[in-house]
Amino acid sequence: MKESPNLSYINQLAGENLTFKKKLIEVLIRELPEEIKQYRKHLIEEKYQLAADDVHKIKHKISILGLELSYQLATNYEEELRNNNPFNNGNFEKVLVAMAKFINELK
Amino acid sequence: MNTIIIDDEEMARAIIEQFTIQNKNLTLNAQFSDAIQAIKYLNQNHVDLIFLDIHMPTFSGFDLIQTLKDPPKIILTTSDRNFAIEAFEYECIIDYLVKPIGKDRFDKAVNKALAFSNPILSNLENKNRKEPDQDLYINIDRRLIKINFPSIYLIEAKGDYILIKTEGKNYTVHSTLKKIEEKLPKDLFLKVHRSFIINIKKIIDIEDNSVLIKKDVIPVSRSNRPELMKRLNLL
Repeated sequence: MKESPNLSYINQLAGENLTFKKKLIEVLIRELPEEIKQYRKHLIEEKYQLAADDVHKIKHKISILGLELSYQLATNYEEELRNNNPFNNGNFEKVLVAMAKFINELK
Repeated sequence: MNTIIIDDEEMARAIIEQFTIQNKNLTLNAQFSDAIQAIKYLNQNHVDLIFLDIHMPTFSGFDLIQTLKDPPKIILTTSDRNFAIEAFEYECIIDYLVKPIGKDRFDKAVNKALAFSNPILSNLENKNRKEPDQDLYINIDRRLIKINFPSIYLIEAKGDYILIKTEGKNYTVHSTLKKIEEKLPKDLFLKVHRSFIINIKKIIDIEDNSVLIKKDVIPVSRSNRPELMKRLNLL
């Protein structure tokens, strides 16, 4: 997928308000790993409806990090999970790994 | 306006909180990560406006709205456009913000809420609402497509979906016959069977227990037949 996580939306949102920007990044660093952990747990347990809920939640972070193509992938995958179809988890996992790597670099 | 935020995602709450603080018309009184806590708060406090996430575990935004006897104005926030049509079935819902939310779009939604709070504008809005709609918007692949009522000739229930047949095209929509029946003009449409609504202007002929519409032969249930006959201009 030819796109990379970025802070364009957060920069645009925060403008010159560096305190707000710092807060958003802190929330991202704290919340995203928990959401990913929860999603992987539900996927392994084959609780696909709950995994779909997790994907739904992660979608917001995907869009915040400017990943438009990944957002579409996540939307499709969420629908597939709601139909108990987890087969595209590999592609979604690549998105999660890219996001996790990016936020690790923000720490 | 006294405002609260209900969203299970901290990032979403942080963004809406910042926008709320920046908007001089809003006072942020509280924020909640789950709907149950919010209901307790709403039972004891006056709130003018809620920013409400639809998709929350165990208790959704729509569940919350149905729980409240006299809900305040609500602006929905969601990552999913699919709920847009359902959202506007609730009178208390002023607007629908798709995440990630931009500041301009947020302020526009707040302005709408303010207009609804203004009695003069609100009355105008109510008057406008009384005029019957000529069109119906349906959600297909996250696009809202406009359909003109007279172009619809048949609607068929298919499990969790309905098939809308029009002069130009057919559409499959995730909805129920009951929901769409409420939206249709009563003088034009009639439910003739538990699975079919027809446009009575499009009937070609009627036999004992069926009507012919275009090339479709539609069953007419015994209980619906008298109403159908009443609607016809019989010689």
